Amino acid sequence: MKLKAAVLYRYQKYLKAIGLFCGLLLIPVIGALIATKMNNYEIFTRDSFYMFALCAILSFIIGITSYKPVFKFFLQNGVSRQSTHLSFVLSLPLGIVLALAETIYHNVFVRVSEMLTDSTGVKTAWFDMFSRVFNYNGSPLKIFVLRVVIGSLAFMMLMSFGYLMSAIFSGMKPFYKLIVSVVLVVLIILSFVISSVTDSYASMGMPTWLAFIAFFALGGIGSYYVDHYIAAMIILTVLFTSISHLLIRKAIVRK
Amino acid sequence: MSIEIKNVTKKFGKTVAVDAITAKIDEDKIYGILGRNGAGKSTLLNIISNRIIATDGEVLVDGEEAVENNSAQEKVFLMSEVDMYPSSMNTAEILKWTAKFYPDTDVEKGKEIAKRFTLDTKKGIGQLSTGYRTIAKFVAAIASNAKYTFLDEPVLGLDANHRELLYKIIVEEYAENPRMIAVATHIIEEVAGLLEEVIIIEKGKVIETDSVENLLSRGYGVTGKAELVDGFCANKNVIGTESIGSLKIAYILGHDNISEIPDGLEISPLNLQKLFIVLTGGEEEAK
Amino acid sequence: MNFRFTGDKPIYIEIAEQLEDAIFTDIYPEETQIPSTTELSVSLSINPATVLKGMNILVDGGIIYKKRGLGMYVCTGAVDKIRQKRQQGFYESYVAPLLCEAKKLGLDENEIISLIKGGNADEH
Repeated sequence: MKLKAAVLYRYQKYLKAIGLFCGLLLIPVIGALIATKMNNYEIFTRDSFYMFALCAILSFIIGITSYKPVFKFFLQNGVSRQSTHLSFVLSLPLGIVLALAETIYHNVFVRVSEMLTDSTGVKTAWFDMFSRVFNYNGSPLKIFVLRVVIGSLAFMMLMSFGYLMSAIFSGMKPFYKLIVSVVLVVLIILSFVISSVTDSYASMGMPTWLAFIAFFALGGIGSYYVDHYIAAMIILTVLFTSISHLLIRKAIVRK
Repeated sequence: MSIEIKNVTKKFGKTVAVDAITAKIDEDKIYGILGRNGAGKSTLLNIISNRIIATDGEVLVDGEEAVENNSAQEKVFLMSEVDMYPSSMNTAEILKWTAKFYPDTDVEKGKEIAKRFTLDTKKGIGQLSTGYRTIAKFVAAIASNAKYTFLDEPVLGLDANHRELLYKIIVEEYAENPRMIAVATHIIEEVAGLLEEVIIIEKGKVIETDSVENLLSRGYGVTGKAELVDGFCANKNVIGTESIGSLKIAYILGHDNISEIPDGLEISPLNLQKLFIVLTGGEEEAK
Repeated sequence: MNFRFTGDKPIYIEIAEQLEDAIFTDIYPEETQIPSTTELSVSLSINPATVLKGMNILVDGGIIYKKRGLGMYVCTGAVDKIRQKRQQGFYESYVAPLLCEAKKLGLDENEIISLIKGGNADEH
């Protein structure tokens, strides 16, 4: 009974967040479409890549927020640590929901762009990267399905990564927490600075840090076989959830 | 049916917070878990409710192990001063979720109790004042109808009116739907009348566990000239003494035959607060 | 009823005494119902078991009795029983402490008697 309630809580909380996120995404997407129409040009077709990167960030954030506050809430309601952890694992399919949303958005965006600019075969940066990374070409349906699969795995991996980071961070003594926080803030600021100064991904017109995230989610640049990627993501997800399981077994709430 | 605490020990590094405690908490009684600040009450309650894991020993709830056990924990509810609810969650939502985790929860009852305290159930618990935050947690605890409900310092931050209301609601609840309600506190005077059983904890150990009635019948004070008092106390279990000049007061625990009181000595009963103070050190006031 | 719960006597005894007083002064006449354990415990915020213990003293003393399904009622003849009991206890409750205190104050028998006579005279 408690496990069911725990899973329900996670889904209610995060489906709301995902829904809000998708709603907010509409704004830049519609804006981009309007700009595309006005320019009759493909300049904003690259924006679709931002969507993927933003979803990646959201997954990571979902992971991070899935630990401490939820753990405390469940503990108050008498849920065992086993069940708390299991409920997280059972909430990973949220990544599938997100990937579905992202893929649908992407396809809608491409179709509408094509309609608006009277051009065919609009290629987005994502699509280019996708085919470059995965050396894959196939029917639109296969690509659609594959994109959902790749997205789901990437997002689930990121969720469990965020969860693990939060688990490690929560278990640290306050002194070390402070050090980690400072280092993190410095790194983030640094990456912004670097990306505005250098030109590395100018061809894609996006800040370095966003590209980093997307590439991290995609497992890095290079040629991959799709099945290798799938295997790698699954292994990472299992690894991250296993380590966090070990950490949660003795976790307590400090005053 | 009861909660059995068997030889439970908890160490935090070198500090022993709970030292081989053995006790039994029966169903359908109002318990007082009394102890001074830092005596180990909260640690014990945290162990019973699976919030921390004991270093040694075990806790059984109706025969089932309490540790990491969802079905045992469906019977146990702990209200404590630690904020465990998401701060954006309001009381109405807390009640809704309590009902999902505790099968016997009565959400309507919770809302009625909240109304009596004039608690705004639509306000996030993080935005409530300390007193109202405590009240919100109390509302959830009572509404849960958990068979073994523990209230750790339930009157923290409450004004006198709300304190009185809280005690009244505990008795009402108990009278209408009997269940085990335990109040853990160091403020004895106000709760003394509510309690049927007490467990007194001092420095991580249980120093007394008895019914209030029995404990009070075992305790008395003897006042008089020091030599007379000492003579009387020769073969008795003296738990504390006080002196004012040549006048001495001795506090005794025991089923002694006090029908023959020597001249010059006065016998007086002890109330729960006084007994507690004497048993747990003596010097300062319990409040 | 005037509950003080000062702690110089067990709560259940005070409950028994206050109830007995109320019955004696006809606040709860014979063959009428007295408050239930629940009512009393809730209004005083006292554990029901304690209240019940106090009531049982009165049951044992034949002052009140339990009507199945209805509650506690005052026995017929309760007032007389109480008067008798109190008359018997009068010496221990009032005279003995008076004599003890008088001794401490150094009052002799005649002084005590004249005080009593004076008090009685004031009454009229």
